Amino acid sequence: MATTSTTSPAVITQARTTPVGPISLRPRRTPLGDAWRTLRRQPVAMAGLTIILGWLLLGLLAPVLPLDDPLTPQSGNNLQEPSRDHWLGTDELGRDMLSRVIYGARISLPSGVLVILATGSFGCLIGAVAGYVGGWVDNAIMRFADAVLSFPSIILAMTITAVSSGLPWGQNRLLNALLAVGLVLWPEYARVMRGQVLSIKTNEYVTAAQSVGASSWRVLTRHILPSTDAPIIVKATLDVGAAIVLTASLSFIGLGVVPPTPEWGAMINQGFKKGIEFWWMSSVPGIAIMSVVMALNFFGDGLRDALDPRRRGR
Amino acid sequence: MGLWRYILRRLGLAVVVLLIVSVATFSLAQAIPGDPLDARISERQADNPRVRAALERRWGLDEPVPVQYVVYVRNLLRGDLGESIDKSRPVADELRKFVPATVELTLFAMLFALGVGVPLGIVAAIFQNRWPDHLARFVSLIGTSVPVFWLGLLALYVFWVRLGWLPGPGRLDVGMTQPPLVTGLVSLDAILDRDGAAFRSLLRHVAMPAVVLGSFAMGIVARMLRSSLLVALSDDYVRTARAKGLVERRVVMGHALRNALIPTVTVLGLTFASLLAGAVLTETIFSWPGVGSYAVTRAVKLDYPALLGVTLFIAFAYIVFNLVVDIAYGILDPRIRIG
Amino acid sequence: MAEARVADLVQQLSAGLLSRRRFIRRALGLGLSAPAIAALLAQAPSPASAAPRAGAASGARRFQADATTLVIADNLKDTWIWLDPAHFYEINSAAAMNVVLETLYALPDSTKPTEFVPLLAEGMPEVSADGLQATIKLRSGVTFHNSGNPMTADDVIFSWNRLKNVLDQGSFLAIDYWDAVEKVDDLTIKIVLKAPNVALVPILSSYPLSITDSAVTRENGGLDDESAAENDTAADWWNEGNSAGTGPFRLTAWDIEGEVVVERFAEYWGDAPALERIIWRNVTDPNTQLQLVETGEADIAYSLDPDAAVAVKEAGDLQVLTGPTLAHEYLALHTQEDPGGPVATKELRQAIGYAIDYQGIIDDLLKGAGIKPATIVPEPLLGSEAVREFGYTTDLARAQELFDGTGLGEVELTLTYGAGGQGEGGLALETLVPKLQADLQQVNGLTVALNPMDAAKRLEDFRNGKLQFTISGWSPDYPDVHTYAEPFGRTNTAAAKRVGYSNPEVDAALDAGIAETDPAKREQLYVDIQKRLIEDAPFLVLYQPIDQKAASKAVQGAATHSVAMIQLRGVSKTA
Repeated sequence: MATTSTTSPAVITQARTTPVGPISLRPRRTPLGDAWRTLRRQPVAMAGLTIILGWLLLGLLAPVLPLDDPLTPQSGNNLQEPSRDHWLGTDELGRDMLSRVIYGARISLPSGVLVILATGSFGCLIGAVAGYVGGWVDNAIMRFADAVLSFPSIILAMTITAVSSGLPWGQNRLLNALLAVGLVLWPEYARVMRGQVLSIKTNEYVTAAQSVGASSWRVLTRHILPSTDAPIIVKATLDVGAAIVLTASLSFIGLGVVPPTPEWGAMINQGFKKGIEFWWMSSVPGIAIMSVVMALNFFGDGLRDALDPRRRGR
Repeated sequence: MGLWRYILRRLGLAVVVLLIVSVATFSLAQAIPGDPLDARISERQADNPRVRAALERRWGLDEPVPVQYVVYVRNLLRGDLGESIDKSRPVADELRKFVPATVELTLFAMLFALGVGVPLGIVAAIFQNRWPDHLARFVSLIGTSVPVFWLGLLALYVFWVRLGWLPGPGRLDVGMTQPPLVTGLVSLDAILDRDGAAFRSLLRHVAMPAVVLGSFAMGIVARMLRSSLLVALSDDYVRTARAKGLVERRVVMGHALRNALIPTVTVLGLTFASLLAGAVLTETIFSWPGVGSYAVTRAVKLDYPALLGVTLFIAFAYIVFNLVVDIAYGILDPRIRIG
Repeated sequence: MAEARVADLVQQLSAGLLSRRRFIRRALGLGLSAPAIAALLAQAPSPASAAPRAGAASGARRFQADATTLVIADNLKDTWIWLDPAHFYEINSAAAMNVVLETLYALPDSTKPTEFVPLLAEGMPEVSADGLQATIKLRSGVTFHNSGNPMTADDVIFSWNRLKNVLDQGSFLAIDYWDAVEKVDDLTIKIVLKAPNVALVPILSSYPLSITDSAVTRENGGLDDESAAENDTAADWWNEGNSAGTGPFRLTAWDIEGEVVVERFAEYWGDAPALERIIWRNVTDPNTQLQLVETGEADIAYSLDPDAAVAVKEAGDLQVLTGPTLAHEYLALHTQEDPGGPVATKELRQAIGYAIDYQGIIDDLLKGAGIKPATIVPEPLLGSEAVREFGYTTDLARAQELFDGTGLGEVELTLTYGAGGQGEGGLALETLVPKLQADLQQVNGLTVALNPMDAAKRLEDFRNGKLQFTISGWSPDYPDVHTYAEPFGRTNTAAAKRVGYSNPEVDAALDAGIAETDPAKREQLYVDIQKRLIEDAPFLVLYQPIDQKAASKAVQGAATHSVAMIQLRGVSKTA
């Protein structure tokens, strides 16, 4: 197993300075099928996948598992240390932490995936347009992306959360937080995608397509975009973790999801406010977040190796 | 394109980006529902039109929004960031007070990231695929996976509450007076003042937040260095060095490391700016009196002159870092200048 | 199971891993009773945890917390802004206002809310027969800090006009009640009132009406004419650590990220204070504040959360200063169809009043640190005790009966609250609100949706009367029944406006109440007002917190105060 690991910022830098993507002459073919076989042979990546699937399964089954109500206060039962009755303790309103953390998975995991899907597609599209059209459009888009990137992500997200609370769905605080996270993360995809498009644009099959009169949209969607998926998929996998952490961070400083919703960041905040001697209140959701992000990193690294033909089998 | 033209072009772009940032922050702040004055004004005075009007005049909130922006930028050019609504104090003064604390914390975090990340990366590369490599990579993976705010709480619980090895939140021991202000970095000021007690106190206080904040950067440094070292170790000149019969240690340290450090340092430059943002959470947990905790308390109160000030400061730092990195690239690698 | 954990706790205590206070907190968490804990503590060998924490011992300090220096740990950074009385309107810093500045009248002991004493005045005001003119003699021989100027009628008039014209938070105190303040002679003023006002003395005791040195304030940017709102800059001068008051202590250092220091004023007109200086230290976290009192680095911790208070009392090595506040946390129910919807129906509001488990809130969430006043007038202000028996108590059957009587069928209410906010008494709303939800849903057919909203946005919506059902807090301006009855009762004023409440009979009683000089008749009027507010139920008061502060046993004569927050006049320390 030779995972030459680099994290997401490294991916960005690489993409920005050495825009070299996998170049294939069969643009319709995705490398996913090949990748799976490679991936299956990597124990670390498979462990990551197992953890993620485990959480998903727990979250999915939460309503049928024998768990306490994660929302209703149980008076007289508050702030219990982990015990046989409450494996992970209870919070200040006597609610079972195990139940809350599992119900939390129903919120954090899907929202992390969805927000990356949305922001990734948006960023890719914008980046592809910038790279393909070029000229002032490219310049305008990329300067705007630069500006967004130069914002401190959490402060930008804080501001957006506040702004979106005035929108029609403004009282859905989870949606506000996700919107903020999405708006913060898209420029990186735009950059990666633009770099990819710039390098592919000059390839012969693209010029060939253009010369037979294919429309720009068609060239972009049929010939360029399909060749760019590998680095984007890797980045997206790693970023699901980043999105979960950022959403949780917003909740932690009190601007995202708030109790009683069992969102993991909000739960850590609750524990922080109650006092760190009630360590289980913040540690249970903390470990949950860490396990998910770590699993995603394991899986993402494996995926990178599997998708990168140059690294395969090294 | 000549080097100077390249630098000028990058500078121009940086100014454009800063302008966009200021407009964006300003309009976002305007779009926040809720009147910032409501957060300040008392229950009794909320309905008094005269008091409200006087307060609006004081912060220029009675002008149309574009005028407010023009006034803001004009004042900005004179170094006047306006007055915070929550505390009625000049934002520039507040930043002068809080920025050094954040810089100090970030520098110590960086020190940790390098001090631990570099050896980890080297060990991992030398012992590729053996247990020290696995261990080093596991540690760096933890660093990049654990949410900073929980790591902070955990560290406080273990090292302060349970073990009592390190002091709790704060920058100095309570009641200890800051050494006379010179740089604003207490560590430096304490040295200048020959105040050993304050210096020791600062070191003990900064240790936990710096490690917590630096853990992410540490993970990145270790992983970056490992992979670039592996590439460098397989390069021709290293093979030549080996062939010349140099000891392995000198091969790694002398030849490969120097080359492998270039990409690492580049990433580091970018990470430094992201550390400033990460400080928001770390400072909140450790009551560290920096811009991060300042931003959080003011954001909750919609104190947007303060929020604008912090955002512009961090964006400025980020842009300057990027600029330096880009220019350095331009000098090192002339091909870049075409982009 | 619990026994094993208790044994574990005792072991940790003996090993010095837990302080006594933490031990008690954890033991309470395990459901042990107070006597059982005391017994365990007596058994356990004295832990070594009395030793100061790491990092606490070293370091050069400017002042030691010796017998002449009192150190208070408080979250200055987030709660203090300034001591300039023209701008002052904060809560925590009132303790400093109370010793640095002086008003004409004062309430030394807030448990006796009618016993005002003259401070800078000489005797009580002489009120003309029509009740429209009040003449007040000023104390002679009073000198100001820093300048040594004697205090005269000019200073009083300047201070009040300045407050009126800076148009800040406290300005209403100098605007609403009188048309003019005239100088009769150097030591006599005459207040020309807008209407007869029996609450004049309590009003004159409020800190924004403190007297400052007119000459020095003017020199440093102070203005008393209409340009003050724009051009007055004297607040900055105060924030540089300057002092222009007459109190027993003068301000000498002002750094709210560090320390605020006040020192004994040698030329004080009254009894010289026992203390040399008082230092407020900025300590944000309440747990750390308490820690500092335990290690002897501070004498008083400003904030004490209810759980910690129980533990401190049990541990017995510190004293807990306890006293009533004049604050309360209340539910506001909109009385108009838009946006009230179902809660515009009076009987539904009453049903809600009967459904809430008040005792549960006070016992479980506040750990006993609260009382339940009948309505919006906190105890012991005028008439509050007389209406106690008429207030809502928990009676689910009655709630159900009233609810069914409305004929509204299934009702869903939206309870809006400030996300991440704290109610009065430091109770997190996120703890309180699920409890309310659970209580109200005991009524068949009633469901409550929780709606956390950004605090500033909620306040704006509430102030614009857009919320159906919300939770809010109120703290006192001055200790008189009128400052509650008026904003909550009068049509189109502060709180009443926010729930669209209007009752002409209450308005009439309010007009009569502020002018009524006969105490018995006045009480009857306010009792009537409160009974009507209970009946109409636009507001349901959940609790009135009891203030608690931890102090070292060396502190003598300190008390909580419902307006000053801590009464520091007359405090001393044993060595």
